[in-house]
Amino acid sequence: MNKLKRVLCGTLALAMAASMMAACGGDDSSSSGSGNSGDNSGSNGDKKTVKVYTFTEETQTMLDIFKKDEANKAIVDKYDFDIVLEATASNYIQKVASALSSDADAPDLFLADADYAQQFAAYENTASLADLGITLNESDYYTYVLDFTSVDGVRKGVSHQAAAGAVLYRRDIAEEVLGSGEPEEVQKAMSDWTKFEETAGKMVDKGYYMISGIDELKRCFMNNRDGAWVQDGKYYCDTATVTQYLELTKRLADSKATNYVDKTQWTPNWYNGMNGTSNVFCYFGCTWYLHYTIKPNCVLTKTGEADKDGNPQAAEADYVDGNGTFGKWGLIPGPAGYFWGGTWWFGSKQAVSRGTSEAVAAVISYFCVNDASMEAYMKQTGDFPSKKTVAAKLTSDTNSSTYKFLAGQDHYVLLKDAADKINVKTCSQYDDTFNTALDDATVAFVGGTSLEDVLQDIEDAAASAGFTVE
Amino acid sequence: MASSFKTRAKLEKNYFGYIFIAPFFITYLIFQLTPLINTIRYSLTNAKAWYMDPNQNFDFVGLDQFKAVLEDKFFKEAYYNTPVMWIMGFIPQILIALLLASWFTNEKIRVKGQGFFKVVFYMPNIMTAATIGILFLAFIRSNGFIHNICVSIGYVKDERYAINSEWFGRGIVAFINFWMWYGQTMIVLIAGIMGINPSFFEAASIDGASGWQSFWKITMPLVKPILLYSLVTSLIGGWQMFDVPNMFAEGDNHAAFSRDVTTLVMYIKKLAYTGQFQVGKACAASVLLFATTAVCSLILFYIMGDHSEAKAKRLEKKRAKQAAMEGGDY
Amino acid sequence: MANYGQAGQGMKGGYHARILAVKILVYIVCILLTVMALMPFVIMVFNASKSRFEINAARLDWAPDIKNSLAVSLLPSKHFIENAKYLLKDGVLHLPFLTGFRNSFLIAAGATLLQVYFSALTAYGFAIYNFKLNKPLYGFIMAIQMIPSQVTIISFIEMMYKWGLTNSFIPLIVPAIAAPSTVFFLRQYMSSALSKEMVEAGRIDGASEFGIFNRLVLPILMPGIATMAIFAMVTAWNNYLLPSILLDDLDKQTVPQLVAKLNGNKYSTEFGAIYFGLTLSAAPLVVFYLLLSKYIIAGVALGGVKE
Repeated sequence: MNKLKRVLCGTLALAMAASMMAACGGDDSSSSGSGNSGDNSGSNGDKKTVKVYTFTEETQTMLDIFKKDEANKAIVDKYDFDIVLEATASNYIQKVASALSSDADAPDLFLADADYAQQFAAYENTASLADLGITLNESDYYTYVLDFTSVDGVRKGVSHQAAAGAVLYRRDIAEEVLGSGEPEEVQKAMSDWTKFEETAGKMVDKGYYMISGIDELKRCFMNNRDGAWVQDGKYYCDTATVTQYLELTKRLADSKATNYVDKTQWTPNWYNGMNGTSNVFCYFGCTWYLHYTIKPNCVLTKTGEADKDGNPQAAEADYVDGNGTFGKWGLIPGPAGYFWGGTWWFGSKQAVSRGTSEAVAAVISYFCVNDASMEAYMKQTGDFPSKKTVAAKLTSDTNSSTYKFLAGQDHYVLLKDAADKINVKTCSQYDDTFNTALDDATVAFVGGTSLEDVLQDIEDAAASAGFTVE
Repeated sequence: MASSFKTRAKLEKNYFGYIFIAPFFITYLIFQLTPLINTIRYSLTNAKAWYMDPNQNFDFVGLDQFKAVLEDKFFKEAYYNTPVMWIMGFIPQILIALLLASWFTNEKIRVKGQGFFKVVFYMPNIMTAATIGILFLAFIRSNGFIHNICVSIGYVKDERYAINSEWFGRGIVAFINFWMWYGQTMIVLIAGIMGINPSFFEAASIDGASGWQSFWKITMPLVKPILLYSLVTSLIGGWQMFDVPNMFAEGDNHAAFSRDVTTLVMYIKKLAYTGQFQVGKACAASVLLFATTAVCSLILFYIMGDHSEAKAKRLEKKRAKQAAMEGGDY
Repeated sequence: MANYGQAGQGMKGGYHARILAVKILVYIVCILLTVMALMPFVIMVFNASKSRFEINAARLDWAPDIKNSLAVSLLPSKHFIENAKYLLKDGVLHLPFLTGFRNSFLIAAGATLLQVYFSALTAYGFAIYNFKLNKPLYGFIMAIQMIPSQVTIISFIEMMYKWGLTNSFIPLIVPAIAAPSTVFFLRQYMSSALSKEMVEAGRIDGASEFGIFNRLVLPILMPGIATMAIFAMVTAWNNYLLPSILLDDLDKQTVPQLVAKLNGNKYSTEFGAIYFGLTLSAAPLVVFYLLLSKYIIAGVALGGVKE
């Protein structure tokens, strides 16, 4: 009894301590919340705080680069950057949306993945680039970069990357099956979907898989429809293209041209095709994918583990021919142009009213507007810029591992053209809904459900999500 | 005189009831009442998520949202999937939990190391659904351990094919639910059984009752309130099932059977967070879900018959009557 | 007693055999369930000791030999320390895991204690006192636990932003006072573990109403309370959605938030370190459970107190 009592008293005391500490925590924020919105930024000495919301670690790296540059000293002396990282997409969206509607808690600067960049642009409290004081020469950019986050003609966000799509293929397999591993020849064998399918047949005959899974071709087809899923709140389906996509995917799956009759992207099975454990001929990649996804995953042994720092190029020592499939890859435009992902930068209206928009504009300009600093960042990471003017200056460093990964091919040459062909008329801020519906439809169709039924399912999903179906 | 004094004292004491329950209701009023009222209010409007429409320009649309929900084929699917998966998981869950609880509290069997077993059986519940998701998704994915078994027994055509059978999907969700919760139910039941006065068992044992008899004649009736608790909370949890099936349906590489394991709350969340951000429709679906749960719970209460309550009530009435009669006498 | 002995003698042999058979069955079932319950933990802990390549490779070793594939995924490796370093010190993350543990502990302990104490108080209020609104208010509590939280949480978050309660532990701790299902459990528990006569006895002894509750009733309810405390603790500790939206400051964040950051973004493949983080975050719960399970097991002894 006594022991119990003591335990109980102890726990109650703890509870009180905990709630008191919680109350203190509350005091902090409520005192800053009750002040005017400028105060919220908190003062650290004389410095104002710029709150940054992001979904990727890369932002930290980028801000470090920004701070190191002497040219930004004026801004760095005046402002502190406070980065908040939330990696789970659904939570990140809700967090940004909730915070943006609050004067006290809104972030000054926030970033978005392509999946929800259009949604962020649509938010009431997302400032326009002009409001932030960012001026840019629109004709310098690949058009899709600015169009993607424009709302009623108002430019609201900008990206430092252009994420043009391109197909990565195994040169050694091409040589065996198609007779040549050179990009020009392979592109001829895959220049449209009919030839693509023919080539797939040849791959199967020799015991190779054309692609990894049934979700590999989705982006490429969806970027080449004749219109977005939603137009003026109404559901629209480019039935011909969607049908073509579904039927091709099913034929590939049935003829054993896909390694798996399953979605494989971002799964171990997908990576195992890259490193040659299973023999997959090609991947539908893109700019960042080249150095961020396929190169680090094409090697089988990696020795640089200890000094990894989040930067995918860290383990340079492992990028040698003979390690996995390193040095066996080639890059071609593939059957159709498309884009994949990208990171867009936004400022909030609260940043303008708090007077932090100067710092927001400086950071965005540093990475997304100024040619020199953009070029420097691209060279450092191997990424691809959103500005044609910068892209024109870039050539692949013949000593770089990316150059060696592609067996001496300069990827910039190809991607420059590919980025120009990107068409965002096929995108809407609701694509997330339809990607899920399309995935479900693909699985069902490959599994034997009729075409009418799966198309009807997509339509029903649109109706369920609140779009007018006619 | 004496009795009237007693009644007044009792009344005064009963007043304490309000004081005891006050913190609960005050906290609820502060933190949860507004969200509750909003849910009901929005269900009658065409409201969108407040961040898409900060000025909250929405119209009252009567029961249109309810109509829209009831006509939605995905609602119907979810309304079927949810109870089916719950029942598939719950039946083994309650049976195993009862069995284990009766074993562990049985003085005659005296299971050695039962402290260890109790701890271990509860452990799956400690893990978050996300962690379990990572593990099980890896198991059922092509080349995963469960997938390999399915291939080798011929359930899946060959190793290239994903497991996409709807019943496999529902089965695995039910299995995970069972696996995560039977330990919890067992602990609840053990706590309930241990709350029973040991002298009952002693008496039964002296009367020569077998373990089986004392289980049915003593344990079961006395543990009924706790059993009812387990049933009702599991039923509510079942209708609100979300975490486990959601991990098969969310993200870039969701399972092939994701649609067959979509539950009502997943459907509701989808309405509110994607597409047109139809908070109004989501709230209408929530109200329907609430109504369903309430009806099911009432049925359970009715079947299980909370006799102790009724008895207490009858007794109370009798006493009140007696008091009134005595008062009349006086 | 003597009667029992006589009646039992005839069937003694069969009786013992039956007990033995039951015992064997019990152990078989228990061991099977133990394997089932522990397997994911073992895999998790062992994966925490692997590099990402080993984790990928394990899944690759598929049939013809399932045993082999299992063996690969079940064997530990030597990268445990590396993953620990990646998580706690190295890498770009520099995540304050110790602070995270402190925050999670404060939130979980605060929420758990408030929840069990006030739920017991509420349940006791309903069980013992016959006030006018007893039935309707209890019905209300029963009803509100049927409201799906996924929808009300939108409105709850909106409210917390309006009240400036972001970066505060209050929204994560204080609402725990109103926990309908815990009230429900304890109310049910009281109906078998608590008698009004006992309370009356306390009153006759001259104890105050709160005194009776705190000194007499709470100890009797301890097995039930410990049970609920574990559930409350697990829920509070694993809560991810609310903290991830409401807590911005890095030094206010909780363990699940920090573990989620390991994912960095969806392109990250640092599986080994993720498993290590998961292992680390589950460890305190196991300890807490082991501590409280004593009170659950002690329930029999406590049951005697009410005599």
